[in-house]
Amino acid sequence: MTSMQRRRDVIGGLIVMTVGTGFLTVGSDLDMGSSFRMGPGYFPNVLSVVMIALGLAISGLALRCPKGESGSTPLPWRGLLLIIGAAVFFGFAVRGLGLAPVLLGVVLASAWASRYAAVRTSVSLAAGVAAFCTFLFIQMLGLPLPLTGPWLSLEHGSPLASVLASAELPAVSGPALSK
Amino acid sequence: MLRKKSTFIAAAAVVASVFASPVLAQTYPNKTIRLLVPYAAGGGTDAIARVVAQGITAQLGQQVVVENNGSAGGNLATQQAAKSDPDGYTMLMANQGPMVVNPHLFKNVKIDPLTAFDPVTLIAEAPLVVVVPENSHITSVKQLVEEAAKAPGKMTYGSAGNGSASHLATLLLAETANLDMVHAPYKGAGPAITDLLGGRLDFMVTTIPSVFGFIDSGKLKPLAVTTSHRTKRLPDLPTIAESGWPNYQAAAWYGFAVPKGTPPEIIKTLRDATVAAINSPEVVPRLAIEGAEPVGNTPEEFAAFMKQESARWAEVIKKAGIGLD
Amino acid sequence: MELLGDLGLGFATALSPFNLLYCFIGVALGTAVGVLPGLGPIATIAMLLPITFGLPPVSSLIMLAGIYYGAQYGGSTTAILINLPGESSSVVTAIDGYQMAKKGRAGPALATAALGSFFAGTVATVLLAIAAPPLAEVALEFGPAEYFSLMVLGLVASVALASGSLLKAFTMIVMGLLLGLVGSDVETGTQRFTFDMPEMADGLNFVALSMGVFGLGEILRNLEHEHTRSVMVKHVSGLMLSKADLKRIAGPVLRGTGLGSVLGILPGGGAMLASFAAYSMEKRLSSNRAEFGKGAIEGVAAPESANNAGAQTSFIPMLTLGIPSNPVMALMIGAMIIQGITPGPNVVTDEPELFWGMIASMWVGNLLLVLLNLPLIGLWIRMLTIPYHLLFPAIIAFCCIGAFSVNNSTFDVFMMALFGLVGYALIKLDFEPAPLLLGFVLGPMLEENLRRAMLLSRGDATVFVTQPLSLGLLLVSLGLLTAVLLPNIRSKREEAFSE
Repeated sequence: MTSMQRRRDVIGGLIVMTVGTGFLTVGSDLDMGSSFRMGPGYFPNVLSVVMIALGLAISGLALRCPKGESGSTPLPWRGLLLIIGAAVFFGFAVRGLGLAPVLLGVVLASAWASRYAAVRTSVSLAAGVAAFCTFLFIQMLGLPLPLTGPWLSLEHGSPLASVLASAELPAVSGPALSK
Repeated sequence: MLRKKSTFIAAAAVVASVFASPVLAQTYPNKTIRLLVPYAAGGGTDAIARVVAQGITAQLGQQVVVENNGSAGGNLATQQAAKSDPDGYTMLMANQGPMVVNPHLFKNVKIDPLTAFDPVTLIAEAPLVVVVPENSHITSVKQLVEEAAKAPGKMTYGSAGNGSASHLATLLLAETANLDMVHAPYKGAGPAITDLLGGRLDFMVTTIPSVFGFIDSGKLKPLAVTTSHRTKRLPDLPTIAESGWPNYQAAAWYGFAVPKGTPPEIIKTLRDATVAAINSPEVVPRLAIEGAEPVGNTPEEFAAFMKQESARWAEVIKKAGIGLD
Repeated sequence: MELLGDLGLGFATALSPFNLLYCFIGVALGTAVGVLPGLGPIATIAMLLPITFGLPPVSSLIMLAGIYYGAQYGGSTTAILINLPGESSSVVTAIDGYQMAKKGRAGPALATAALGSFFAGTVATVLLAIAAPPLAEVALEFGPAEYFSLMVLGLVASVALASGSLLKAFTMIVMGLLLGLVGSDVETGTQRFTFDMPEMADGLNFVALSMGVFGLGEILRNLEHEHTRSVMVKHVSGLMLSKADLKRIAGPVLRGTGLGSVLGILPGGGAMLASFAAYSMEKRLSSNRAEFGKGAIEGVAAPESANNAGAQTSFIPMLTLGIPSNPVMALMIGAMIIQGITPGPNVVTDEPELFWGMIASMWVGNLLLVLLNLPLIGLWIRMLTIPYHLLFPAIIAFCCIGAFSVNNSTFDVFMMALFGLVGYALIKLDFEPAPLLLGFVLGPMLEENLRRAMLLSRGDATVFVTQPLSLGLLLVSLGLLTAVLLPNIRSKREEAFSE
């Protein structure tokens, strides 16, 4: 076992223990019942304890191994942020912006997670994916999502319309296009 | 939903809608209407929703699109409908579970369905049926009750889930006849029926389409229906009321509701279209397959009906102590 | 000879130009949604249900069935090419299939999946034609005690999936079991680990979990080693199976088909159980044991045959009893009801055209799928040569839509994002995600059936050993567990002694 593996397993075991403890804590107020009439808390609590034990075993076994040189790989922060962010953005904005614009955003954002990203290819990829998906999911399959959403509509009362309206009025505080 | 309007926008919207509403009513409907169904696609409620939606589409000349969301016992779809704009373009399939049962069952129902919606009409009522396995020696509800009373805590029944129509109808019977029985809830009627067919459960109260095939082939014996009158689908079957408990009455029912504040003209348009649809020659036989009979009452009648149902089931749930957190 | 007449009627129905067209539309659409990450047959069938209104009942059911088993074919394509199982039944295929693709053997892997599935589909269809009603009776013998024992067997089998540390595999299963418990408790309705969010009341979503852990997690890992990923696709070797390959897959395909046909009949995850039971079995039996987890062709052949056989035989309880064995079958029953057909034992006699037409169409559909998929392999392989930095943003877009489409819920998309982080952490910490997903699927069924069995037996725990079927399954589990643990303990000891 190399030192990196050792460190990794110690951390892994600790995380497993934390997850087990978390489930045990949240599930502590569930009714255990008895072995013969198990309550909703029986299974979760037993499994949480097993989980903690497994975490202990993983860390313990790793600690027993001799120490070696240490080393670590850096986390790909840009990728993590952009890709997880792209998914979160989708969830957040798909109903408001509609499928086509939100997909443009998702593809563009995630494309930038790659070191090979280039503006022209990213934009055409985003346009292609958005066009294909809106055709397939909205036209063919009837997924209940708008092509472009209410945030982009110019009807009365919609946020965009309000932004446009408020731009003409003085004394309006705060951005209307909130969240 | 995710939108948070500032007071200014809200005020602007009110002003806009005041001016807009007469125009809106005249041209209503001029775009697709969304029908939120608080049950998964493919079930009995979904089938009725789709059939009626098609009927309304034909009446109004605008597409009625069914959107299923059965999550959280239908509470999510109900919440979503309640928060939608009251412009007649969002309807809710309003039935028993989400409207009058869940608020008493779940602690985390965030809205009061009886005040968050304007009722449109009660579409249909469908009976549930009491069934026992083929080789059961029980032949009537009376005998079922007697046997259950003789051995408290012994007789087992399945249901489509905690707080489902099937569970509640059985609870009501248990309360009416003062019985103590073992409840085995399942995820939906299907797996419960499997165990009933295998003889591992003593009886079950469930919807007619879920067991009609088995009744027809003799694999399950029907004992009675739960409504106050017999059903056309199984005309020889007595009601529980006839069998000795005249006050017993339970049904699965289906209705339409719209978010509170929908203009009355729009509600009227929707109601008229629905009533015409459910009495049309295309829809009536489809409802009959579900064992459902069209109702089509007024919004006021539907409101009163739901209020009464809500009070009734609240008591059953409270007595049985099955309220959930 | 009655059977021949019935089959004749079936093929006459299935081969009518109109039905053939809908069968083709079904399998083509199924393949398409199966290939697209995230979108599965359940969401597709639910979305297409209204369209089937206007079709004759037989055509609409033939089309819906085609989507279902077409998606099984397509799903394995995604699992093999980009390590993204959209269905629980292709989780196992991803293990060795993706490794094969990494070694430039995506062609043989895809061909194995297609041919294995076709063979399995053919056998299962024959089984369906000759023995559907008696087999359905077997399904009725399965009560909660039997299911519990079957789930135990499934869990033991999933330990055997691990190619790395057994301890870590076991940890992943337990974590999967715990995640599977999130949501309403079936017996009491109590909300567990839902933090009062109604979105969590029905539990975490499999697609969100799988897309997050496998899809996003894998993409993040690949971005770490972007240079190595682009090298890997350059040496794609032969598209077809060699003679040696064929020899290696014959046994696994046969055994997988057998196992899948049997387990598929059982309502509740039979096909999924079949795929990894078949994998575990091959891993024990194969002479190439060491290659499993590193691109063994048997590791693709066995689960793919098993899940396709299982997918076909899962129609048995639906067609002969009207009992849905999985959510897709529940939708099919819904489609029948909408069409005015009462599902149940009488379908065979009342609607012979529908019953036999569907059976015949399954074979026709499987044939169409092979004809459709074999030429497509070349295309899929070429897809691998698309630079990864153009591929993965599209995968993310599809994952988002897929996660959303299951419940029309943005909550599931957030969940997917969260599980993307979890998946990446698991990869970094060297935990395998496959056992996690299997634990997640099995957990709720294990608990539900254990508690229901105890409830119906009035707290008598001997029910698991007094029922012959249940006892048999438990004994098999015990045997398998010993087989998994013994060599491990022995090798650990040897390791310890050698130090």
